[in-house]
Amino acid sequence: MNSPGEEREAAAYERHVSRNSCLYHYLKVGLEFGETRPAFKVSAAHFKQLIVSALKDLHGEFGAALPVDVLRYEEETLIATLRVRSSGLVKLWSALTLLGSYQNQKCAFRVMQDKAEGSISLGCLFNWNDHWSRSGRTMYWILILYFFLQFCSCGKTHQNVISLDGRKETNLCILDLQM
Amino acid sequence: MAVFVDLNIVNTTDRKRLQSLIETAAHLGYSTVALNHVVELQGKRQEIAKPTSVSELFPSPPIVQGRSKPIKIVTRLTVIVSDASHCNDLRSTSPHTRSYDIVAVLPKTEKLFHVACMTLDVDLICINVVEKQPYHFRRPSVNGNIIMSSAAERSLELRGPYDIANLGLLFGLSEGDAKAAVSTNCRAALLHGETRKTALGVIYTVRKAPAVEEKDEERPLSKRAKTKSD
Repeated sequence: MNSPGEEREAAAYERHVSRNSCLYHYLKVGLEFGETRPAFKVSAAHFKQLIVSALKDLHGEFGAALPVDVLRYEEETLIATLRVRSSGLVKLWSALTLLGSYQNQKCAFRVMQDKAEGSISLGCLFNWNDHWSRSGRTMYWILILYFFLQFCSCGKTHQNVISLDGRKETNLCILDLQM
Repeated sequence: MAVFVDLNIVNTTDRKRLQSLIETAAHLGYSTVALNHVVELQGKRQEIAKPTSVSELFPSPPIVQGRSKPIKIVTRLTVIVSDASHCNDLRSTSPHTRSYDIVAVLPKTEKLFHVACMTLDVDLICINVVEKQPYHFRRPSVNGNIIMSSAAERSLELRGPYDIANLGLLFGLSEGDAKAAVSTNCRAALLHGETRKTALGVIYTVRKAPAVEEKDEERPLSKRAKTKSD
């Protein structure tokens, strides 16, 4: 899709949409300063403060109190991964979009990726893709519940799980999750 | 993947700035952008200038990120009207407005707003939401199709299409409406502009019933029914 020899990095935008209610949203954002790179450095603390002040400008004190976590930050490229509750996604995203300047330098936030997280009791991270049907998801949950009950009731977990024929793939999958 | 359109890139004489603006728009994923020429008619009739030539700007337009096609650049004219006499240019097919792909109007009074909605032959009606309006506008009764555009003068002022769609949620639009504001509705405006340029009259042909035709063959030439072209 990208033409060869392109100097700029691909702005390939990815959006994963979840129809289930999910707990957290992850945003991959980059801070762009245009042609002239500023003389000052933007540390992780500065970056976080920038986000909070953007939220405060647009949504007030209540918006500034929105819990946003900077999970990853690269000082050279100014690209970060943010995590926010799904209820606060619109607030955060709009605040980042409308930010115009930082320390009298014109800048812009570019949201490169936006991912929803579906969290379940095992605390794992996976995406519900659009092609998962409702019946498929129900079956998945039933299986999870079944094996969870099996796990609780008897001590020899691994042997029981592996010995079942025809469900080996699912078992391995469950084992991976538990690890 | 949806086609994203930004219908307002302020036209400047600075070619380099314009080029970097359009390159950024292509990089962000916009398939079509419109160069906006703003004209304010005050008192005496002003001449509406011809649009800047697009082919001069870019011998080979930049490729849109995510698609293999180059970005499409169209021209747009925005007329700021504060008096009813200014609308004459926009009412009929005026020679000035025909060279632009999209024609937009920015009414300054409520009456003009109504006129623009009902009678004027324009593609877009602009509302300046930054200033407090002297009138309270109500959405027209016909499906209020809303579009959002950047009015960007510098490449850093541009925002990605999904960012704009998210802002639409802040404005009270539904998620579908917000995304349509950057894609579908813009495309509809572009097509409306195209029809305004091309469709001046319609010629339709009616298929004659075969029985009547056979009868005509028998009669001598002078007594045959006259066709529409005569």
